[in-house]
Amino acid sequence: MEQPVIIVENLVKKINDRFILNNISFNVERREIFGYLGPNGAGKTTTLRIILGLMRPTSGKALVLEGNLSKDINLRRKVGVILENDGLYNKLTAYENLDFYSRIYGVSNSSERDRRIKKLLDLVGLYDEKDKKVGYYSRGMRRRLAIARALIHDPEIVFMDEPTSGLDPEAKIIVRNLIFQLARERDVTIFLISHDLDEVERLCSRVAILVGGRIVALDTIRRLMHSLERRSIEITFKNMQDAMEVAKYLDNMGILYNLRGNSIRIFYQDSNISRVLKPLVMMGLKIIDIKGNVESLYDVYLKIVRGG
Amino acid sequence: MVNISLISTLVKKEFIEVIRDKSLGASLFSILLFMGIFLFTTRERPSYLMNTFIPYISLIIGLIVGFSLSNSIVREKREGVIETILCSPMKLKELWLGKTLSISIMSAVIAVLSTCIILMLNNYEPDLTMIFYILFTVPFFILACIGLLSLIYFYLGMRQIQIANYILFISIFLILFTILKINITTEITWRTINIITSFSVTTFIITFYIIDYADIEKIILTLE
Repeated sequence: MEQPVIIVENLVKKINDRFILNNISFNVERREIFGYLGPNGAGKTTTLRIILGLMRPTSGKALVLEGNLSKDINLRRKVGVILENDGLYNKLTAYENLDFYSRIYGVSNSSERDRRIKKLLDLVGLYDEKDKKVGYYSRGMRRRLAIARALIHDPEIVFMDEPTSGLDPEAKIIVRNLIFQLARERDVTIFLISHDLDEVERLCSRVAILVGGRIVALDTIRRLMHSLERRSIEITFKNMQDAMEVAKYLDNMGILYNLRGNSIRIFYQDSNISRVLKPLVMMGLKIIDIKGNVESLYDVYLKIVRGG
Repeated sequence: MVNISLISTLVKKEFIEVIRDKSLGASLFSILLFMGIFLFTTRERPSYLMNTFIPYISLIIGLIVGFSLSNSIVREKREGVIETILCSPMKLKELWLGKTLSISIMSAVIAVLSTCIILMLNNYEPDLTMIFYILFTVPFFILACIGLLSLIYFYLGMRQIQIANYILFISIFLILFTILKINITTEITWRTINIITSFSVTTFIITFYIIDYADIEKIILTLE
């Protein structure tokens, strides 16, 4: 079996006697898009900085491709990084920025550099803007250029810290498609920190949810949603009396519900919905609307973060 | 120990950025203003005073330009460029050296050229000691100061940098004021050249080795 490309084991980080990370462990497999979620101050960026070798752990280890990025300078050539800020020089053009970073990452052949830069600018849709200073770029264009910058040396793993934060919906879709394309076509492993749960749900195969420096959930999105899923159905009756009658019936059955005027939201597990609905139909109540609800990653996330 | 090709890439990039930056124009304007005031006030003075002033003037011009250009480190810290670079194969020492060299070269060139213009306009013929001082001692002193300043800028938080900037500015003005106020008649001799050059070289070498022990985590924590 192939060794995971990122191994984080019992990672602890204490700053001024406060635990920023408390015994974090997870692995990321090759070609995986791994989502790392959590509320502000949960320790996501600290984890990333430790993995990237920018901070030291108090105890535990964080390995990338079986090595330590803080000690092995050459290993950094296999890793691309998009941090919260784009890391671009405003006074340089897009082409000059990519040229600078490709030289730093050791792409020494000038024709190879030129080929890669043009190919990546084309990929992120900025080829026509290549001679424009980055200072004049919009936030979305900068983000796309940051992705090109992170890929200039053909890395095996790309770490992304909120790549779509602050972007308008259209720019978000472009960046999201780029990330998806990367994992699919270039076999790049992606470690994605994001606040955008819709994005994580669409892109990631597995997620870890971090709360207060601890991982409280680590699984595939499908399994996480299944384990915490609470399906519900909302029935609207013609009059309130009918709704109250159903509430009494549900009380007797021990089924959870939420009554709001002439609407009632019934929560059920797995396939017992027919057990609930059949008697309601038999009671001859006047139903005017039925809506089914399946929870999104957002609901699951809130439940986990709030300890629900 | 250090990758020369990485450093030259960084120096080249810094030159391009500075040429395109409007702040260079602003510092050149301040120098022209400074030179104008200096030339106006020294027109009637005897030549021995020129010999006294020139050493200070060239240093101050170099330091003001260097100080202004060093702000790029602060800007890059704020914009997250330093953090991104520290994730690349470039070591902190190479980043520091590239920044220090590029800023020092530009500052020294401007300082030397400005001094030469002042000398020419005053019809002052410098002796060998003065030529050596302007061409070697001044650039080395600027290199040492910028190296130290860059290291300090890497380590300080944004608020601390603002305080440090005020302290540095006030110190430069106090030094300038003291020089102009009291009648110093010490001329540049080979002894003073030796002292300043040795001090500069020692300071630079110490900073060069200190950076090996720099704590990247502390630098990263100042970004917040």
